[in-house]
Amino acid sequence: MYIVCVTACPVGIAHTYMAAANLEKAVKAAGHEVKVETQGAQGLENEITKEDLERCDAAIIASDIRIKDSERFEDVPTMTVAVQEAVKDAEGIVQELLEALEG
Amino acid sequence: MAEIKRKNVQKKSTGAFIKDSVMTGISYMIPVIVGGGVLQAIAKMMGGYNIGAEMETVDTLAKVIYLIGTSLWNFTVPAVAAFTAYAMADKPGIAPGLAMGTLAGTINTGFVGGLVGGLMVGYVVMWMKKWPVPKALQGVMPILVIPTVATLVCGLVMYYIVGTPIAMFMTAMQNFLMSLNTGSKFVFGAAIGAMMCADMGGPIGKAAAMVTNGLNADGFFIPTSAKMCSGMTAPLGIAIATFIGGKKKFDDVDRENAKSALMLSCVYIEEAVIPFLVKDPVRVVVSCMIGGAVTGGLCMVTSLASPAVHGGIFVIPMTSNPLLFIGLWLLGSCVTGVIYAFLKKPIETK
Repeated sequence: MYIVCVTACPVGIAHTYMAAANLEKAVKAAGHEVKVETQGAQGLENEITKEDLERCDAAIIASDIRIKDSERFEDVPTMTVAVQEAVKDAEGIVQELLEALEG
Repeated sequence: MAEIKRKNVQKKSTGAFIKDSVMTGISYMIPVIVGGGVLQAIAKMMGGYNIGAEMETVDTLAKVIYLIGTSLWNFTVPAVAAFTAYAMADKPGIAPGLAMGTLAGTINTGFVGGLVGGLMVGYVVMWMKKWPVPKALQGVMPILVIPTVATLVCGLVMYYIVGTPIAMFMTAMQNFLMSLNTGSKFVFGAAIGAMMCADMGGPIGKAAAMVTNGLNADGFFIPTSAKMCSGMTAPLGIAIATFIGGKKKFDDVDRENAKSALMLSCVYIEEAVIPFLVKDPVRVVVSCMIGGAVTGGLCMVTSLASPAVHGGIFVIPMTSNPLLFIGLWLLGSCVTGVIYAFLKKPIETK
C-alpha cells in the first residue's frame, strides 16, 4: 500500500518534523510505502504531487492547524489526527488506519 | 474529503474549529512578531532603550532599523486577524481580516480585539459564500461584494458593539498587571512558568504562550521573558538530571536524548523533553513544573523584559538584562534537574 501524510503545527519547527519522522517510521515498519509532506515554518516541503495522489491508497493528516491545499485529498480516504498524537503514538495511528481500510 | 471515521472520537466541535483557526492565525503571526521584535530590540541596543519615544526625526541607523522593525511589528495583530479568518473562510477572509486587525489597534483592543475580529470575519465570510448568487454575479462576489460588505459589517460591529467592552477589558488587564505587588507578580509568573512546563508544547503550554504573546503584541514584554525563560528550563533541567542521576538511573538512550535536549533548550524547543515525558510522565512533569514556576515567578518579580517571543539564546542579548536571563534559566534548570534526579527511580536490573 502507498500512504501519503501531511504534518503541520502552529510554530512549525518542532512538532511538524517529529510527527513526520514518526509517521514515516511507523508506516515503513508496517511494511508499506510512505511519503510525508511537512507544512512547517518553511512552507511546503517534500510536496505530495499529483502522481502521488493518483497512486496512493490512503492519507493521514496530522495537524493542529488548517493545512494548505486540503482539497487535494478529496478522493482519497483520509484520516485526520492531532499532531500531538502522531508525535506520541504514530504506530497506533497507522494501525487504526490499516484496520479501517480493511474493515 | 473521503473522511475515515475514527474510533472513540466524536465529530469536531465548534470549539475545536475555532481553536484550529486561531492556531493557524498564530502560526502566521509568529514570524511577524519575532522578526519585528528582534529588529526593534537590535535598534534599542544600538540607540538606547527609549528610542521609540524619539522617532520624530529619523537621523541615525539605529532609528532606521527601529523604523523597519516597527513596520513589520505593526502587522502582528492584522496578521493574526487576517489568517484566522483565512483558516476559516479561505482567501476571501484575508482582506476583511486585515482591516479588523488594524482597526483593533486603532480602537485599543489589541491582540484580543484582533482575534475576535478575525473570528467574526471568518463566520461572516463563510456565511456570505453560501449565498445563492446568480451565475453571472458569482465572479464579483469574492473580489467586490465580500471584501466590501464583510469589511463594512464586521468593522461597524467592532467599532460600535464589541470594541468597547474589549478595550475596557484590555485596560483593566493592563492596570491589573501594572498594579501587581511583588507577591502576586511572583504568582502570576510562576503560573505562566508552570503551565509552560506542564506538557512540553502541548495545549496547556500553548494557552500560556498565547496569553503572553498577546500581551507582547500589546507592548508588555515582561511576561514574555517569564514564558521563554521557563520554557527553556525544562529540556536543560532534564539534561542536568541525567548528569546528576548517573548510570544507575538513566540508560544510554536517555543520555543520547539528553544531549539533544541540551541543544534544543538553547533554542527554546521544549519538545526535546517528550521522550522522557512519555517514559515517566508524572515525575518529569512535576520536576519541570517546579523549575519552570521558580524561573517564571522570578522573571516577573525582577521585571525582566523580552521583546522577542521566540528564539532562545539568540534573543537573550535583546532582553532588558541578559545576564539575569541566563542566571534564571540556569537556576530553574538546576531546580528541575536536582528534583528529577532525586525522584527518578533507578533502572530495574534483572
